[in-house]
Amino acid sequence: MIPRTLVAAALIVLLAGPLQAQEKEDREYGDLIHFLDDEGNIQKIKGVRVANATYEKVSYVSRGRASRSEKDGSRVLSIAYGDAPRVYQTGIVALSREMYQKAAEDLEGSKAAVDAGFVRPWLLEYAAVNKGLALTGLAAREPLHIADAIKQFEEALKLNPKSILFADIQLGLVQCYSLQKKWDKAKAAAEALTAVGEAIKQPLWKIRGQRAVADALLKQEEYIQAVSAFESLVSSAQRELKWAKGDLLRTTLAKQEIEAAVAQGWSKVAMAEASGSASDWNKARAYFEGLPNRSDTYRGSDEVAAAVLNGIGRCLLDKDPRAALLKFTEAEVSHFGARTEVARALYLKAKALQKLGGTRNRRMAEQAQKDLREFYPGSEWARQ
Amino acid sequence: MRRADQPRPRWPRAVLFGLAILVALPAVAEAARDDDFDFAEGLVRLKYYDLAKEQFERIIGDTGRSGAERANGELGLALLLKAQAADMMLSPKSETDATLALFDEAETRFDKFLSNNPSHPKRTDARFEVGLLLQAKGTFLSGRADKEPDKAESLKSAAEGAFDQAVDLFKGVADALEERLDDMSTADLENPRAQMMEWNSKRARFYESVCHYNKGILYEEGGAEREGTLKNAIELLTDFVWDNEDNILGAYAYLYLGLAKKALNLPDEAIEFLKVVCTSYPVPDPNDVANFATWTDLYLQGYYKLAEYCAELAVIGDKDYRDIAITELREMDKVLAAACWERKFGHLALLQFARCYMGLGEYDKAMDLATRVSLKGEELATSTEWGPATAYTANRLLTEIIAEAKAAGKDIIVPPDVMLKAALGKMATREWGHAIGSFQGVVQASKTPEEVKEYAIPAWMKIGECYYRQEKFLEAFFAYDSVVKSYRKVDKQLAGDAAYYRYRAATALYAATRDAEDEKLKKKARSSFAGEFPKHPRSIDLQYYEGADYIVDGDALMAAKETGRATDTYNLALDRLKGVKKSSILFSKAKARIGEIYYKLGKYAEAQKMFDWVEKHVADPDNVTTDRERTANRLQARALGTYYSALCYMKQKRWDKLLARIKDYETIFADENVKNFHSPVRFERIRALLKMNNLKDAETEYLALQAADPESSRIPLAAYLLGMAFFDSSEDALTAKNQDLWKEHLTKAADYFAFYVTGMTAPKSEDYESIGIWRYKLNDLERAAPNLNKALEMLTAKLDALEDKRPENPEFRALTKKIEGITVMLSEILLKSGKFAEAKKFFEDLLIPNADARERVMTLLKQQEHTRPEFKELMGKIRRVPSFMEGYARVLHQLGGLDDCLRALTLLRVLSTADKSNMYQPDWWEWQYLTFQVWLELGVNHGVQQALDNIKAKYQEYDGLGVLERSGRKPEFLKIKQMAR
Repeated sequence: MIPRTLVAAALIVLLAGPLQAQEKEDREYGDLIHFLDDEGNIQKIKGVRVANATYEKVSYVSRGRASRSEKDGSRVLSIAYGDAPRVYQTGIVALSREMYQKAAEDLEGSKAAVDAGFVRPWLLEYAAVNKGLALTGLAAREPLHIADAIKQFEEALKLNPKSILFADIQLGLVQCYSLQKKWDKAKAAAEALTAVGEAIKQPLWKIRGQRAVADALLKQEEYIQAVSAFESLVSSAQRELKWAKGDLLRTTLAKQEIEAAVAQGWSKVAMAEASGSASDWNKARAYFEGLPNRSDTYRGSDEVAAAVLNGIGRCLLDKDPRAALLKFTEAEVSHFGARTEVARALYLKAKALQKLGGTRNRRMAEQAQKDLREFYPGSEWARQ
Repeated sequence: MRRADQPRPRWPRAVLFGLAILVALPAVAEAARDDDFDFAEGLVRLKYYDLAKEQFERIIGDTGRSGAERANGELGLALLLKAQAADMMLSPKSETDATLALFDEAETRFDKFLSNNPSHPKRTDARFEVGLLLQAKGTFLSGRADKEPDKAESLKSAAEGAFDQAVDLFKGVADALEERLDDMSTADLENPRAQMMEWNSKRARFYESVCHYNKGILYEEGGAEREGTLKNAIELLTDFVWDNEDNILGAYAYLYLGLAKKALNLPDEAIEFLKVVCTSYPVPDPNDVANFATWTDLYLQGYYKLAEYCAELAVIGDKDYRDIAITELREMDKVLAAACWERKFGHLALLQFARCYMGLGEYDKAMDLATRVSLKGEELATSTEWGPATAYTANRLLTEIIAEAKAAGKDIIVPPDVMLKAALGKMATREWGHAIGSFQGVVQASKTPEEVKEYAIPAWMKIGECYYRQEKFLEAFFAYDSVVKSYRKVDKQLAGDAAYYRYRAATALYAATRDAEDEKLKKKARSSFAGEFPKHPRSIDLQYYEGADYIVDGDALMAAKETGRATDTYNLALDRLKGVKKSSILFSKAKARIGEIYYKLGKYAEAQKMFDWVEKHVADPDNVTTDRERTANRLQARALGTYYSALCYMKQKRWDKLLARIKDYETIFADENVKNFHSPVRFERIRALLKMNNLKDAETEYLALQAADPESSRIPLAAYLLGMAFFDSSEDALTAKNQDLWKEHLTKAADYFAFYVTGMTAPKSEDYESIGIWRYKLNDLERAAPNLNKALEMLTAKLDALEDKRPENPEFRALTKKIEGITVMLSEILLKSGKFAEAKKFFEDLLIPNADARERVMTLLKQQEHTRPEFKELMGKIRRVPSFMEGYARVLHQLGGLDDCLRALTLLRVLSTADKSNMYQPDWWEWQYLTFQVWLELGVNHGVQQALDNIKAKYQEYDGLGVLERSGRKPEFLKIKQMAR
């Protein structure tokens, strides 16, 4: 009888070689591509090795095949590279959790893999983009990171001017330039995204670019232009929706349309706040009151319902803070799914309570601010 | 001789039978008597403490019993106290001192039993109980040390003491029993009594070593004391196991060995021992119920501790301890499948295994296990005490699992029912905001109509409740409003509930804000509920709320002193409340509120009738209900009744009745539903006790109020009342020439007043004055001065603000008189403590607050230019309080600034001549005396002569008026007058 231990040892030796080779091949062909098919449904291709990726074309080699295949870059949603170094992965996780400092450090550290012999070009490009995003996140509180963030985005573009991550780069640049109040540069970055989106027939990029322009105009306090930009954006989204296929695209476009419609209303409010004119306030209020009637989609939307309450409330705030308080509270409680508007509702609720005065109201105002910071810490309203 | 064919007479059998009964009767009676004790002990175990107490007292009082039997009753009372202490110990709201008092009382009872009954058959049991009591006390104290860091040292020291006593006791018992056993022959050792002794000696040894372990974990981790004590415990446990491996105590010893190794951070050794507990002993036959339960609980405890430890250790090096735990879980499932779902330690073990799954990233398995425990716990809620607790713990764990999975980016599908459980877990710990977020998640996750009805609507109702509990009444209103608007067609009953609670929220909002718009909201909510859901069960409550609204309106009118309208409004309230139906959940509360109205209308006797009715109704066993809301309302009714009854007795000055009325309130103090009445009732008790001159108990009650509700607005008021009471008492003590008592009570009066002023938003000058004067009288000058200064500051501000500063103005006079009194005390304090420079500044600031003016006045005086118009103008800036000037002159004199002193005296003279009114006149004699002294010291003859002439001129007149007598310097003036001759 051959001892069992000897048999086991022999098996290990026999299988070790093929196992190791298998592992190597798994790593080489470990990339995963998510894309939209002709019907707009999400599909994936795994077990491939991506050779080259731009927003025009993604070429790859499948395991066991010699020739390359291609996908229309405008349809590709994402590429997950199977040989991502561990430090890069931890950087991405940190970025997703808004731990920006750690993300920036890890992503910088992932570049060391290149020095250690990592040859695939994607790493430097992706590390630069994601580090840029991390630094942009930090820049919201500490402006000294802005320049570095811009540098990362520019570096990524140099490495691959037609990067799959082009939208992230351009929107990142928009945010950085907006923080620096360099409005022309911000708009230029946004328009570049719109143009590319138009060129490669990627409606989401087009819409996002337009949105970025409108936001920049609003931050620049060009209210009339902002209103007009949001109005165009709504029309643009509606047009794209007519031809859009697939749940993902349709849902995203619909969401963008609603957000733009809401933002248009807030631009009118901003205009009224700046001018103080009763006519501007009336226009803002009328806009919000009429918003749900535009379509069934609007009527059934939590975002719209909350925005309408907040918008009308804001118009009432100065003259009738109590009536405004009712609106903000209803928005907060009844439409909790619309997180951006709920954060705004808490902010405005605190303002209304402060205006009403009295011990109880002041205490409730403090509580509203506390809730805002605790439950919506990333919101722009929590920072105010 | 009886013939064979004659029947046997019956009577011998009957007699024999009767005799047998007679003989057996004492044994039966004896057995019955033991049964009485056992029965009472059973009542203790079931926590029927009042009934158990009655039973034990009956045993003690039964003169037909023997001494030993009656002593059983004493032992029983001690056991009862021990059980109550154990209960109190487990309640997180229990007060440390109160719990310790119970432990000490229990210990005293046991000691009394043992010393009075040196050869009682239950003596050894009693000693064991004392040891266990001491052990429990030690555990309680060490737990409290973690919660009360400022008392940690003393609590830990006391815990150590308790454990040491327990060790000594158990060791003593074990040594004594072993000695007796050693003296027995082999044959004797076989008899049951010897076997019982042997078993008790093992128990004693076991507990001795466990006490060492409990003491060891008291000490700081990593410290030498901890290590030494735990090693000692391990040694003892190891020795114990050597001889007792095959019995239950030996198995428990393995458990403690595992825990001790864990406490010493020896994970592998700890796990080995815990595994021995779980897997090395056979599972008894389930038909042997008692044995099965005992051993199964031990195994499950072993699994529980093992899993808990492995979850804690997680990964060390390349070893993942959670994998070890999961392997053991599979084993537990195989061997104890049914038992672990039916027993408390089984649930706890399963939850720890769920935690291990969570740690390993297997969130679905973790969630599944926790959900099943939650469901089982709920199922067992009606038959076990621990079921709800394990369900609650499972719900909390679900929250953690979901959050961790989310954070790890895992896509776990959490069904709405599980989400609801997790949300309820958060709500149970009063994390209202997070609970709301979780309930919102339930709403979003509920897609199908069944899910909406089953989960989303209840989740919305809970959202409303969470807002309501935070007193966010408007938010609660909208939450309930969402249900009414969105789901009225889905479930009319639930929509009706929501409409009712929407109305309640609006009512609470209006009560909080008293805003007219909120009143409209409330009325609209009421009419909407009444109109849309007229047949809803809660529609009968509306009558109550209308009545309650009228009371609020009546109170507002009373506060505005519109008594007539207030009375009419109260009568409207009465009318509504009397119409509340018996089936309403608010019936008893309505009765209590009727009593409240009678109190407010001054009809105390009628009020008391209502409160008595409420007490009787709530206590009536036929009225027991399982409906939580009805129970809560009854409790509130009782609390309300107790409070207003106390107020009625207060009005009627029936202090003893008041105290008797609220004596039983303690039992419901801790209940969440009546927390609003806790402090008011305590306050009334303090007032009543003070009225009865019972300062000691009033103080105790005050301290209890402070401990229970430190933010209560009644605390400063209570402090004020206590301060006044102690002051009055100190005056009585002074009259009775009891110096020690006077000092003690006056000190307390000052302390309470000092506390009172810190708690008031606008304390009065009199308050500071009182504290200052009392401390001055107590010669506590350092603490008197700040209070007197504060009083002086407030009084001089009032003086400055007076428009009419003429001495004829009674208000001016009253203020200056007060100020003078305080100034004298302050100056004496300064002078006594030799702080002359400070005193000088003190008076200068008092006299002429404006520094520039002060400087100028002094310069002009120096230059003897006090006739200049400028000087006259500057006089207007001087505070015309004679004592200021005199005090100033006195200080200057002390400082040796005689010239300055003279200037001050001149200023005094200028002021007095400028103002012709008699009332301004300083104490002329003091002034004269001081002037005379200064001239004499300066050696200025004409000045001395002037002073002498003045004194001589006025002497006879003022002597006749008794002024000289009052000045206290008559002998000096007499001498001076004689000099003038």
